[in-house]
Amino acid sequence: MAPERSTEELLEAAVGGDAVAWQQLVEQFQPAVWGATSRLGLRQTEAEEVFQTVWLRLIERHETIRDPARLAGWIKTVARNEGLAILRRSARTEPSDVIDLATNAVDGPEVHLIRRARSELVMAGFRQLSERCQDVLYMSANKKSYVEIAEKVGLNPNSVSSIKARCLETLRSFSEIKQVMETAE
Amino acid sequence: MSDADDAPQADDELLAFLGEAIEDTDAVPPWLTRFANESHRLLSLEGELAAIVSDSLVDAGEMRSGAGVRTIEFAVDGTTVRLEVDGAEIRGTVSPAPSEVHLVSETDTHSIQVNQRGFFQFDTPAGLFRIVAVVDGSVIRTDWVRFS
Repeated sequence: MAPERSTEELLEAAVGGDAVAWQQLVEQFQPAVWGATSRLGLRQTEAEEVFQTVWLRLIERHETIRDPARLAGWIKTVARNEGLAILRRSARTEPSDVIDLATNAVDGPEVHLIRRARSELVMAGFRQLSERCQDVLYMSANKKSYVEIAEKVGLNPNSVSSIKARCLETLRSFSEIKQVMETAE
Repeated sequence: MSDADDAPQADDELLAFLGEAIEDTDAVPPWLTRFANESHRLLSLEGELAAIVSDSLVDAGEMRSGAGVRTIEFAVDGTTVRLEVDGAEIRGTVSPAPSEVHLVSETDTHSIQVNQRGFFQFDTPAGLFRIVAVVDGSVIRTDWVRFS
């Protein structure tokens, strides 16, 4: 096992061409990027644009970033500026019909713990799916229409339903999900 | 007909759990994770990076009409690149005047004609792009930007 590398070392390695180091950075910081991005009151597609831009800025401006604390702040600033530009481009002053996945009401502490454990298991299963299944189910879980899913994934809208069913079947075959479904019964 | 009709209830339940899990873990959409991982290949070390120094849409103190012209300026050392976006068209200037200007998108690169005073013009690209210019024999590349 390689020893854990600091943010600075990962950035340096990534800039030197190390794709694995870059993927570690992505894994580590993408929740922060997505969190900062999705709190801006943008539409989903706009939030996605901002998310993408933040990574491009990061890889280009790596020299200016040295420690993890600064990186998190830096991410928020870049996301905010990019988000503002989009809001002004569309001349909106009000947050839109936001899709913010993180702001729903939270249940009591016990419920929350049980649900949290279940969610971790579900995600562990989800991550084993193929790219296409992940895309289709992520969008289905967020109540996207078959037409929207078809467009995103590049499918015929008529085939989304059966692909979704097959993906769910695969998901259900994983041990993590079996555990979840047994507990739920 | 479809499998979904055979077990709609169980599917709905599993999808509801997945929805909760996505929410609880702030799960990033999978296609965005792929983009972030792949953005590594867009790294270019050729030349100096001209970073954004001003963007009229970010700098504006108050909300402006969406129909206006957006101006972005990039700078590095003594060189500035200025882009004015007017709908479907972008007018650019590099100062001092460059010998070459290239428009680089995520997937390809092509040259743009530039006059002796450093002016050039091109159709607003869809998605992300950057300008790469050769000034006095040195290569500069701007930050990535997106106007549509």
